[in-house]
Amino acid sequence: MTNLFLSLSMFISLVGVTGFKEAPKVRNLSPRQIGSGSQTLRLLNVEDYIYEKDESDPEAAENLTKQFEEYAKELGYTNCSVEYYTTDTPESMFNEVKLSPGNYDLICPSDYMIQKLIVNDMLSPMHIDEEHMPNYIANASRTIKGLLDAISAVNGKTNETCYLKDYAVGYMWGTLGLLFDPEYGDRDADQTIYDMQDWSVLWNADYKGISSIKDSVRDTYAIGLLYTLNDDFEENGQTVEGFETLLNKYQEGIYSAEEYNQKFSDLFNRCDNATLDKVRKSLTKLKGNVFGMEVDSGKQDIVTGKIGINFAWSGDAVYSMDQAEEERELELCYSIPRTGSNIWMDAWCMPKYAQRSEAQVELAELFLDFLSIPEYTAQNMDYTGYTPFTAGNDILELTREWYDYRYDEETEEFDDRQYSEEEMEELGLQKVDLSYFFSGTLTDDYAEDENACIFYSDSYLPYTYESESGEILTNECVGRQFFCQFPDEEVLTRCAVMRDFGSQNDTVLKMWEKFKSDALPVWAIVLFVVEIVGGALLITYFFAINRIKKNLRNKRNESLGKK
Amino acid sequence: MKKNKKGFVLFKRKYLCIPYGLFLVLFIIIPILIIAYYAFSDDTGALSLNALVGFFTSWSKVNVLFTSVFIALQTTLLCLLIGYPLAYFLADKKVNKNAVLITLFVAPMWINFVLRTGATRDLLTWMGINGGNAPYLATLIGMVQNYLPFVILPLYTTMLKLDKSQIEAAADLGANPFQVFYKSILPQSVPGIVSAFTMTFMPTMSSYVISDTLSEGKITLFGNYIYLDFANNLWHDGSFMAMIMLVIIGLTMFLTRNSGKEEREGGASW
Repeated sequence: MTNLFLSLSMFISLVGVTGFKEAPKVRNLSPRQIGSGSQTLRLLNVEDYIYEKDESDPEAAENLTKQFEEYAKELGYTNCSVEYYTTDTPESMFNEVKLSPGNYDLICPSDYMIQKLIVNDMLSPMHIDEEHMPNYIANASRTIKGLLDAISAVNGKTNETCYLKDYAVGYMWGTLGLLFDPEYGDRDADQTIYDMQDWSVLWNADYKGISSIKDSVRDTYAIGLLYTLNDDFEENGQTVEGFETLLNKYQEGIYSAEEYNQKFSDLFNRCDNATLDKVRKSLTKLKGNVFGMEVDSGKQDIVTGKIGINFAWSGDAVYSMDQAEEERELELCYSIPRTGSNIWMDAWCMPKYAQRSEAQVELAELFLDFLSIPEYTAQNMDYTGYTPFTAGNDILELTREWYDYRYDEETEEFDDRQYSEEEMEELGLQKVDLSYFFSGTLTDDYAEDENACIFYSDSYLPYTYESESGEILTNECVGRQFFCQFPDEEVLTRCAVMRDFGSQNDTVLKMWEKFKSDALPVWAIVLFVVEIVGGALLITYFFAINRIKKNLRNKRNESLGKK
Repeated sequence: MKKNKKGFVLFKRKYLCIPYGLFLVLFIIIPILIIAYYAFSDDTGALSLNALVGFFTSWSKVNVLFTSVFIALQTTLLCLLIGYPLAYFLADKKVNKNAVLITLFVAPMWINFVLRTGATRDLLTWMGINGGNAPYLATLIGMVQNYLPFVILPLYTTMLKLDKSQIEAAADLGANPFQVFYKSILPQSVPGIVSAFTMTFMPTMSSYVISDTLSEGKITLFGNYIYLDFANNLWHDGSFMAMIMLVIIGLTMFLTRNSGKEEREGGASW
């Protein structure tokens, strides 16, 4: 009986395999046929980066992964389940995938790490097209997706140039900036906000010991670069334009936006030895001026008031602002200094693994498409504070609800009107145009409304004040939650992606190691030497005394023996 | 295997070692071999001394080693300075009836040390000492707080065994209090000092959470450095540093064991 059963199952599986070989286009089958077996989708992401149910709220929606299981079941994937794993950094994600590529179906690293994964031939391309991911194609913000898609890397094995458009499905994006408490330690809020438009504020002795930077190579290297290469410098007998000059030339109209962004990006991606050395020197100076280096404690420390400035990722900044308002009625601000910053993107990709079944791939792609359905994206955005790739009607409505002045929280109604310049001045409003993010993804009425992407906010840039000497000072790059989540197009012009360091990776790490390991301060060296010398002397002293005593005793014994 | 008449396997006492033997091989010996393999190979898996050369030619790595030894030494000395008199008084039955006091001193060990360090950070910041203005002081306070029980316990057990009649005899024969201390009490407590030293010095060398939290990332100890390398996929360098750590720990154990023996044998000759 058992034998019969075995041979039967073998027969079935053989048929299965041959059938599979004859019809490689399994994708054309309807989901029900593929998905009837039990399937597990294994995901690897960083912590706190997907909507999870708040257990204390019984009415809250289920975890997003749970909702996906329901969603898939309705489509006929009757036995699918999601296993969700987390880790702490893209680097550890790389480690995990290198050790066991078959353990995960999808991982969610950052832009540069995807490049590195491609270089190491560790990713499989996915079907990122209308047919397999209709929601992603329809809803992903054109501009941001364009930025991601254009990133490329050369596969180290095949020497092929691969574009991320075939490998990565965008998830979240954001900027790096300075999150700060304008009135920290009884400071003049106006002056503080004004000062925050330059990266050099971190090096400024007036703000000594109150700021925290990131304990991670890339982020801190970025501010080091922006500070060090701010002014023009000489290289091989030629003058290279620094960030300040580039910005000035752009504002004067000498460079177009594209030219400026290109030049900015080139300068921002420098990692040759000379630059590394210069940056390390300024970072070492910085180390003495900051409160400390952190990767996750900063977003809480600024809320509790341990620090006044936190070099933060935009999503964390939103989190801290919300917390600070709730706990201390404190209004934190977020500034993306005017000479530019880093724009980063996190995207899902699929580790290369030969044994992964077609059905598994299909389920993974279904999941990515699911994430781009605005209804679910909104939950993610609300929970994590980060900005999703997905635009579309629902996100537009949510953004209006959260940030637009015209939305009435009591009646829950939106007054669809435009303000004139005078009215704006009277109400202290700024007009924010987010068409770069939403255009092309809106449908129905919104698609026809040319003012759909215009928002009015009372806490967006610019910030202007009159100093004591009567000077009008402006900071054009500071704002609150709205600005964190949706910087305007102007900010994007001043931001660039920081690419993988490639062959310079080891050198950059060496630089970082050097930066991390300070020599002991002088008092410590003196103390150390005194202790060691003292200890050595003490030990020799006791040994000597012992020896002398022993000799004396032996002599005494001898003389006693003679008697 | 021997069987008795009824066919049961005869139980021998040494079979009790099998669980530990398995544990030893699986979780201690094999991992160490893997570390050794990574320390002396390169990405292709071939034998290579890159990591070794890299370590000894890198000033920053040697720097970190010095810093770690420095912090470890300060912690140990401070702990001994605080813990020694304390253990002496706690060992006195008049002061510490029912041994309740010693329990209180060891009680902090019952709380997870990461939580404790977080609380210490808040407390120190409130007192105005933080990683921003005094990274070394903050780290040392945290280290001493964490490792003090490890010093008190071995010293306490040694102090309990002090030969009271010898101390009294010394006093009777005309030694002043200072002489009584360093001619009688100190030599008798050397084994306790040695084991307290090893129990503090070695873990401090490899600890990294405390220094990371309390110095706000400004002081990098050997443990942090190993972690840094592993986090950045530099497995070979990281493994080699782990090997160095092993060697240092082995060396300390060897030295202290030898000196301990000598003191115990010749202790009375001081």
